[in-house]
Amino acid sequence: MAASGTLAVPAAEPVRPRTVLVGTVLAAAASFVGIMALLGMYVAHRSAALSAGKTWLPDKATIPLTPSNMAFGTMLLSGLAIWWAVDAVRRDDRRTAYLALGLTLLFGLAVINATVFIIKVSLIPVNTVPGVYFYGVVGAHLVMMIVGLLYVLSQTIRTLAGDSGPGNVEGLTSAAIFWTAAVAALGVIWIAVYIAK
Amino acid sequence: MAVIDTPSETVAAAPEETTAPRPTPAGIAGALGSGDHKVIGRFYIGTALIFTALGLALGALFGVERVAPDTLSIFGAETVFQFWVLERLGLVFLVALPLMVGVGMAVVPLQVGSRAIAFPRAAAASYWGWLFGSLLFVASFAINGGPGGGSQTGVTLWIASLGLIIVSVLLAAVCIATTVLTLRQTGMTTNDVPMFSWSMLVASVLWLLTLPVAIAQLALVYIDYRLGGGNTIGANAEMFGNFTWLIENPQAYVVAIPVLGFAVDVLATTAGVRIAPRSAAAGAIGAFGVFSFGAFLAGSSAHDHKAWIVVALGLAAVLPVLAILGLVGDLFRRGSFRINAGALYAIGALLILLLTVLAGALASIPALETYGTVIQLAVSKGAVLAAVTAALGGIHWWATKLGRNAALETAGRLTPVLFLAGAVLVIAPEVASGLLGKDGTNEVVPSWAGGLPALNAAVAVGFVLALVGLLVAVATHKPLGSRELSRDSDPWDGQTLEWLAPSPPPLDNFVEPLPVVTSGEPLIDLREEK
Repeated sequence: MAASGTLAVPAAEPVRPRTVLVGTVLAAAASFVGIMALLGMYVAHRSAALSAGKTWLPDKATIPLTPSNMAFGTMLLSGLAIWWAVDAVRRDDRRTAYLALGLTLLFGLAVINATVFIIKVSLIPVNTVPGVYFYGVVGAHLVMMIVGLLYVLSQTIRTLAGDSGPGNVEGLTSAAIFWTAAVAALGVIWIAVYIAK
Repeated sequence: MAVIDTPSETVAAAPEETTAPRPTPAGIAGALGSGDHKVIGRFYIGTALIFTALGLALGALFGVERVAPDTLSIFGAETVFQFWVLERLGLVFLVALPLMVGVGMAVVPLQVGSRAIAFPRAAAASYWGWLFGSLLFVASFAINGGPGGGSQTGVTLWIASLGLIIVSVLLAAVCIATTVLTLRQTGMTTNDVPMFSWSMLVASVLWLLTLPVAIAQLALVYIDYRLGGGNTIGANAEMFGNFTWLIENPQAYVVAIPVLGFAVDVLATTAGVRIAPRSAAAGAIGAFGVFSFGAFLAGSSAHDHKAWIVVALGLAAVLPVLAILGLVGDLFRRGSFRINAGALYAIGALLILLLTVLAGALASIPALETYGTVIQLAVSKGAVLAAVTAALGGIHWWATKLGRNAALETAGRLTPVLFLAGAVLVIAPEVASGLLGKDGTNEVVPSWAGGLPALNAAVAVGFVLALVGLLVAVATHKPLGSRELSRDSDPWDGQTLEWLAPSPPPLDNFVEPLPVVTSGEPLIDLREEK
């Protein structure tokens, strides 16, 4: 607000109104809510089964901890790498940006690979209550990761084409926000499903 | 705007671009490929109105069926459950939501002074996705699908089509919310956002925070039905039980949030005074949104519906509606009371919403033991009727922005009266059946056989009245498509920026540069400066 006695000049029209950023935040929030809803139902049914004195996972079924630890650790690294890329683009350090984006994509693909492995070795029958909810939670997060990776890939291509730069990191920041939501979702799944089983 | 054009919001607008409107692509290709929010809004409205007529007719037929369900059997014993599901979910996802999205998509960018909606391609995709999903949704029932259906393909198609509809609505919500948050005219703070746009923002956020839960449930139902044999989440017929929270108190209210914003905007303009205090109006709309959050009831049991939070939300939802009614009374106390169709639509929609939240409050009180009775039908149908009334009112009020000419004013006053009378006849009997019919001799669960037979006849009459009201509304909207152009772009002495747009608005919405906004009523400011 201008001080008394000075001319109050209206603010200049914003050149870029952060439309993509805000839209991505809304979409990421909706995706996160969907996955948390699935997780909430998984936890509620597990809690009900355990309260009734039953076991949750069927015989011979297991959720291996080692690959899930590796998946979450790799996901954390990819979450750091994408923000490293955003910082590099902001500093116009293109070589570092390409390296960071490449690492993000590589780590992301590794997590998808690990998740598919977990699904294959878990041996939870799909026609059981734990099976339906387990595949629902893990499958939904798999879809979120694939969408996030495609978003990161599109922004990587734009960065390679020179579209992103110090004055324009909105697209890449938006992809980073969506990917961070995917990392956070996996963090909650890691604790509630993979560790607590 | 054709989708191959660069949307206005992604580039810094050059001065000459703001003053020289580009030619609008014409013909079928121009319409089908359009990213113009007004064209997409009109598509949404036009298609949803067809579904509204079918939905109201279905509601009337069910009212008749419920008079003597054992002997009449209008829908057939084997298919009545599928028609029941079609009516209950269809009124929300094929009628109320798309009508509100359509009016919002057409009007919100104009109200906030934007030259385009955010993500025009996504907005177009949301319509085509919704249309495709809706047609498949109806088709799934036609091939013996939907919950309780005998065709596995049909049941799977029902799951997929409902998912597509919800994703499309979410896409539209992102576009509308982002427009309000980022594409406002210079100087327009969030406190200056017109109340209809504010209510669309609140509604969009609520849709984004609750409808993904329904998608999550659809994913589980799909896994269970297709891969797990359907014995975990609920067999075929019980599938519908997973989604009843969408049409029960408090979640049922989310379709009616924009009713409050529409009513405040229209009645303030009709009274000719500023909304004061704006924060109270915005706060009441926001509070109604918060009290409408019902996603936590997904997958719940009857016991959960008696929890203190459900009781509190059910009772609290009445307060914002009463607050808005109080603000409206104050507007008319300070201004002039003029009866026009827009004001009648606004008052009618507000009163229907008040009846709905009162029914919801009764449904929430554990001592009355009304949970699981036909009172829930009063809540869901009341919310839908309030939303439809407000949407029809929006089409009438913003006719010169949606079409080429103003709607018929005198005949237009009949529709809100018919809808209000119809809503009373739909809501009151369901409430009475829920309260009085628990003597063990009557079926009062919300089903096609529920409710007291004599009162169900009134429900049928109520739906018929609403259907007649819809037909009258469509007749009064005929001038919107006339060849003659409106001479008056601001027939109501409007207060907000959409009334600075010519009628019909060009591709980029505004011809003249817009003023810097310094209050919630920029056009009153302009008139006072002169």
